[in-house]
Amino acid sequence: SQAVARSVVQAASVYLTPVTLELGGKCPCLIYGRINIQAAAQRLVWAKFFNAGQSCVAPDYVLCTEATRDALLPALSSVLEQFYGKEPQKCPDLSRIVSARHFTRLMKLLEQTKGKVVIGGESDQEDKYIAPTVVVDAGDDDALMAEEIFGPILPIFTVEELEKSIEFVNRHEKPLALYVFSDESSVVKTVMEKTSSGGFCSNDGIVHMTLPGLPFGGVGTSGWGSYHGRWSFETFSHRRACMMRGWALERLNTLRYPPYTEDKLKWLRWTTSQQSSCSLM
Amino acid sequence: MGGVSETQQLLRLRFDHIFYTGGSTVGKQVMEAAARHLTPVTLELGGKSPCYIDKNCDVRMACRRITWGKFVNCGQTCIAPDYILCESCIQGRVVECIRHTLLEFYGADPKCSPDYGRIINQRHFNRIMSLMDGYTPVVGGQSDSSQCYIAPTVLKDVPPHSRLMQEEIFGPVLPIVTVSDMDDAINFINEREKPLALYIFCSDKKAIKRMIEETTSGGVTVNDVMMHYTLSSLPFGGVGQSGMGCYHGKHTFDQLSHHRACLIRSLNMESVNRARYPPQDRRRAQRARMALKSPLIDTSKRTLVWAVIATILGIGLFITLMVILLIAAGLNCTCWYWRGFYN
Repeated sequence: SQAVARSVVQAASVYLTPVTLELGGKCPCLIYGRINIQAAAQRLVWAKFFNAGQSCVAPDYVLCTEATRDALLPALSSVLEQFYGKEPQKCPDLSRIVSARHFTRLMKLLEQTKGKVVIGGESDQEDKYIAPTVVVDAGDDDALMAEEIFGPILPIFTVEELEKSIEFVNRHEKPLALYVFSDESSVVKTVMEKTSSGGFCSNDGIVHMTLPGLPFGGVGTSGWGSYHGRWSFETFSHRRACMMRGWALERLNTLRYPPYTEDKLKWLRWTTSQQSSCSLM
Repeated sequence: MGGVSETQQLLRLRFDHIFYTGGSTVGKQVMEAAARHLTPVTLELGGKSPCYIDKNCDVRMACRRITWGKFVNCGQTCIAPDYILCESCIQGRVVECIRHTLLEFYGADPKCSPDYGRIINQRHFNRIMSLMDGYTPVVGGQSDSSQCYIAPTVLKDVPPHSRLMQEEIFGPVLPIVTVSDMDDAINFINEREKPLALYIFCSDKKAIKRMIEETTSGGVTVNDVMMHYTLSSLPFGGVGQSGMGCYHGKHTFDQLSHHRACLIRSLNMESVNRARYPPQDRRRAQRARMALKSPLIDTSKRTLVWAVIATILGIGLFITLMVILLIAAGLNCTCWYWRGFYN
């Protein structure tokens, strides 16, 4: 978390220890343009309710148009039933909340939200179970937008234009991941170029962190540095520049030794100028 | 640019990245201030850059290069050779060669040379003068407080625990510390904080390699000083107390950028995804495990061997196919060849 990260960096500064921080953030999920709603709903549900929403790269909230939302809600319902059955609490594939403290935190968010619960909302304190829940009509200043949800609650915000949606995302801290669901590559490209995030994945969730060829890390308050695969090696290594010079060509070196006559300075300026940068010396 | 109070005000603000060049004391404060906003930092600090001279190298040329590097800008560069490590048998020669080179560079009186600098301010002048307290220099030692001038100075047989060896000199004072051999020099360097640069003067490639492998530093230049700074393809930066992060050339771009991993997927081939969706059962899990073990994404040595053999077989098959096709097409060249053979 960010509070602990601040203390870690402050402690590390005493010994000038370099740090890599893998934090979190509210990962937005934008759904715009032409879209295969069923496929999108399946991937969104899988990514969001995987481990009951308790993963650092889970889609935190959804931004889409009203029409998309109206098409998405029944799709989400049917996919949730397909995955977890009619009684999700009995399904062995649905997780529980990690601790009583977090259960209480999430229940409080549900109580304080000004939005409407349209799917789920059931809970069982003893079992630390919260049903996969979808909330609509919450405002920008809602309790659900105050902190990273890290639970099985999915707020959907309706924003008619893609540009306003991008502004919404940019008004908040840079997230660890950003998702876009769209069949139109122009939509994907626009969002990718106009926003900043740790990682980015279009038409899917979480899987970008499974590729060891891609650096996994945050930016801004979502983290500092990256790792996975070769990037881990680089993060934990110091790139030591080693230059092996020989004894030859010492005469050329006299250019850099004093006394600096006007002639020498002219040559020096030429060797170090932009067009002919070299290390002849 | 500004003083302490302006910098402290600046550090309260939020930036995307802070790049600091200076000493480690302030470097620690910069990092602590950056922690408040979780701002990534790049620190280019300093340290005592050791300069080891092997007894079997060309001492005269080594001393020329060291003299240049040490006294350029009056020793006030972060990568100036801070002190020399050499065996006592060549110490005398090192001093003589430096003395001779100084005469060549700055003349008999460096104070009159237009190419010799001054100490940046009175505070640092006093600091460097106090470092020399109690030592008799073998070269130089003269100073003039009104001009903040300190002559190029060399001190020999400096004890390792002296004050001169505790902090970065950042001035025209060059202490020589004697060591018994290269191993002793390596231990000496490793007992201290990691420096920004390490200089090795030696003609034996194996010995150079060993010294580089058994020590650590921000950068290394062998048989010269400071030149690794000039190659923009080399990353320039410190390690440990000498700094974090690196820059120059493309490394600057990488350092000040965020590597954003972007995975562009399409919504097609959704049926493949069923392996990861719940409800999960044994069969699905097994199928997923098999897919993960597939040589297509496995990175073990076995896969490499398989890949190489498959490539060779594939090329072999391709060549065979081409030969067969050529013969079947009955091209003139092959006919001539066979005709010639049977003649």
